[in-house]
Amino acid sequence: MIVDFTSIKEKFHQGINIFLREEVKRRTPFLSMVGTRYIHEGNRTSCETVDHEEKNLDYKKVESGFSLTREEMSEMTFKEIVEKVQESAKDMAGQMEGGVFQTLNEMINKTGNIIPGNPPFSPEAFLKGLEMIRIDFDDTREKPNLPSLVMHPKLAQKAKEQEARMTNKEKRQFDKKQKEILDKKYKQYVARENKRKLVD
Amino acid sequence: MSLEKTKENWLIKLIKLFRDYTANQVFNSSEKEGANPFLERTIENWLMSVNELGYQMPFSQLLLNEGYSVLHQSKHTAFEQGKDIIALDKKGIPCAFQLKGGNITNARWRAEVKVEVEELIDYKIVHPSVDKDKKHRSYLVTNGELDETVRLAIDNLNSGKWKDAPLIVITRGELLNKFVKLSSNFIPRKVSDYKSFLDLYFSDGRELIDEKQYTNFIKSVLRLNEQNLSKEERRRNITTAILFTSYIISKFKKKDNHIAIIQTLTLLCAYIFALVEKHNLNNKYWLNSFKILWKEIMLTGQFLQEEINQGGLIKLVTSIWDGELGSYRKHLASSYLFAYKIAQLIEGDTNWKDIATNEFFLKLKETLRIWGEASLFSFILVFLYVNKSSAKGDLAELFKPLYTPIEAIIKFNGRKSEVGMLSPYYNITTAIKRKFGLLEEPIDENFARRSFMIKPLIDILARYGKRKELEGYWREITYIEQEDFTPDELWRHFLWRCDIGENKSRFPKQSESWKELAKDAKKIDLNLIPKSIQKHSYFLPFFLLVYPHRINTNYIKFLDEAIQKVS
Repeated sequence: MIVDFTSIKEKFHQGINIFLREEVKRRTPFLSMVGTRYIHEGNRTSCETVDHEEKNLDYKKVESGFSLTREEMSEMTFKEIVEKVQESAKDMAGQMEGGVFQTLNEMINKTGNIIPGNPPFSPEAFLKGLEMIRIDFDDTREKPNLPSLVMHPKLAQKAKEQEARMTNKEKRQFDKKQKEILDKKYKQYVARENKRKLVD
Repeated sequence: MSLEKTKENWLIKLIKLFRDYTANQVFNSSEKEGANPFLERTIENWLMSVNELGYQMPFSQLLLNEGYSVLHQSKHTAFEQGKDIIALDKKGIPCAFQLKGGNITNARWRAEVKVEVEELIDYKIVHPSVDKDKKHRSYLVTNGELDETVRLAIDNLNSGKWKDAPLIVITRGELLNKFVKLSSNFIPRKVSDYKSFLDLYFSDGRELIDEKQYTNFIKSVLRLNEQNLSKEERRRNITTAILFTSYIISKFKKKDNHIAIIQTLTLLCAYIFALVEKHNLNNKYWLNSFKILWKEIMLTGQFLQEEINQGGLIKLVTSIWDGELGSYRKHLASSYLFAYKIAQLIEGDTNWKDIATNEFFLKLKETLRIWGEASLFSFILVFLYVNKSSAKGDLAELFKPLYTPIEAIIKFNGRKSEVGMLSPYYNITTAIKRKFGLLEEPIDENFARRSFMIKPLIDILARYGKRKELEGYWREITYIEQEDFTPDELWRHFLWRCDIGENKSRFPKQSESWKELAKDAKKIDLNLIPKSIQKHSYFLPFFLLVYPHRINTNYIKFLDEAIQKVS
């Protein structure tokens, strides 16, 4: 064989793996908020929710790949490799993030946690949704942990336009209603927090 | 064919070639089928480089293998009357061995060795298992050579003054042959086994052992996963594992790196336990070997204590980097010391209490630091030790070693944290590398809002009736998921990493009944504790220190119980 630079190749490989992981993370903003947990041992994982419901967690395989001929490889630049990896990362991120929303949808449909009538997005629908969910606070009323809104870019644009069209009166009404909901949510939060204690 | 395979084949061919050329030239033992000159050279290198302490443990194992019962191994104190090892041979004849390191010149013979040999021969063996009236055989063992004049002197004495109890001498050649013969029991199946052994053997003796590499290697020596081996073969594999480990830890011995010695021997004991539990080995095939290892662990613990007592924690500074790294080194020293003292306590050794003095505690002050969840077990050890000793003092101070880690978990892994402390799957070296940005690959795992150590800490506080304190923490505790891992079979507890088992996580109840909590904290599920640990509970402090990822509330409660049982 012709002398090779295996240790340098190994470093490249290591580097590209790190890059792939970072790219996937960058492209899965929703999933990344949850945080990554490694399973260091074992072949099964189960968890108990805050409501003490036990669930077995299934592992889902996420994969992507590309194939190249020897000729293509011989002419491949570092930049082109990075681009290929980015494509794979995009593919994997799509599978991961898509999988999360698919699971979420299944759960939402199962529990019936849908805004009645499933109305199109509007300030009213948003407030209705806010009323339906549990909201925690960072100790004080001023610091609600508001949920993240995930929407298609087109819908996001539409929402922005909707907001821009709102009159000052409508905005004040919206803020007032939101404040009322959050006040109520804060009371619920305090009641919940008061339950976090040792009893006899 | 993969590059690795090609390499393997190439190396196997080279080994064979080397073997063919060198047979009958290097050692007598090479005459036998399957001998391995690489291995022999390594063993020779090892034997020539150690002192008497360095080969005491493998020599004891060698005796066991030859049918002796080893009764005593020296702690190298002044009261042992020249007898480093006391054993009974197959026929029950008492034998006393004096071990020496290096060549015995005429000058050395006269100044040092002869006096000790006279004690060896003249003084009767005092040991409960030895009949005082029975004559004993005396052996002088050295990994060096004897000067011709010394040999002549011994011959003269053997035919004169010592005629009734002549001295038997074992020197390097004979020792080497014995070690090589026993070690040859292990024929590496993969070139990577050789590579692992050589990597471990030539590693820097000042660091900790690479647990993954060592356990992969020793698993292969023990042939843990192979079925259909006879019990005798299992026994021989244990012997071989001890010998290879002796070669590996010789690097640590040379540097007086007591912590790495204990760490490595703990890993070996754990793998022997795995073998015993997996293949239902009867005591006669392994227990004596384990006892030899255990004595070595405890002897090393004693050396560590002596080093700390003589100001080792102050003298440890060897470079400008110890301003940063010294605290991690102190943490390890303190942790291993407390594990050793608790092991002594459980074993019933009355010396367990000898560091419970203000003077000694002052030397250990502020030596523990929090660098990850794995570091928190040391705080539990300190609590258990101080609680049991008479040095309790102020009650608030007594429980501080438990409050500190629980507060650290709440602070670093609680609801307001973003990344969290490293889980017990990450060791101290990784923690240091992470802190100083030296990791080859970043850790992108997130540890916030979960903890492996919080449940054991809650339960131990509950066992000691600390309701008020737990009430103060409870709100924050309810935000942290409690994690643990349970291997499917008990023998798998001893594996460094276990493929089959369940990871569980659960949130504590938001409104928890103190009564229930205190009741559960008292319960221990013995079905989840391997029999070897139940029978040899004194091993547990070292096991959990070296395997922090095996810590769970059941083990901690069992450890507490084992300590409480000691009167």
